[in-house]
Amino acid sequence: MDLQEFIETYVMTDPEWREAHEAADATREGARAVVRARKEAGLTQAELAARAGTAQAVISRIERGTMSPTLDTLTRIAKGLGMRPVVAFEPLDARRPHVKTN
Amino acid sequence: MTDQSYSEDQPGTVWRVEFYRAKGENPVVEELLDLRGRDLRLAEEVVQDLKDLEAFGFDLPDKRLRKVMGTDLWELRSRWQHRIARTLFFHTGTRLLIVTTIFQKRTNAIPRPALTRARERAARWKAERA
Repeated sequence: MDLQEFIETYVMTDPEWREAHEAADATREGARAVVRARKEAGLTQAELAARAGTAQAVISRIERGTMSPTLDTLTRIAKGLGMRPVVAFEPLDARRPHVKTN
Repeated sequence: MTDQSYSEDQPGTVWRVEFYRAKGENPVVEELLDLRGRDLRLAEEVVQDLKDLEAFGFDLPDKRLRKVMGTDLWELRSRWQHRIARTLFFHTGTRLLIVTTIFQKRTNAIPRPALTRARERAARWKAERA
């Protein structure tokens, strides 16, 4: 069983776990987006922090999903990456495509 | 539905995390479900960290990964407040990672039974595919 199957089979069918999962996803997907953008820019956490006018520890906590950044902080991070933030809404049941080995 | 190869030769492909399973049994899935029964938030952190592992592989930020000395296993630490769960897994050589055990951390060192269990499951997985 792979991770995606596990989530579909056990997490999304358990109301309490599903609620916790969707709440965590909201923070962690944002965190992954920051990590991806930083890596694509070839920056360390410290370098991005300096460009965004914040502390490396703040970038670290955001990337770990243990801190939810304000829109102002996100905007400064985006600016540090030479980007602008984009906010989007999608249905809760929107799933990434399931991937499998050949 | 997307078919995707996990060959190292294809940059940009994602990693895939699978739970070790034996004939008719899913012992690692049972371990994660057991953790969920005791600590929902910690179990969810394990799921989220495994999603990070699929997204970033060994390039996972923030030192959550470490090699288990003397083995081909890796340890992923998940935290929720003061609680810590450990996931042991191995790399198959492609972009496929097999989780061999999940348990809640109680001591600094990996408990010997957990390490033995993880190594035996890894060896069995490899033997079945040799």
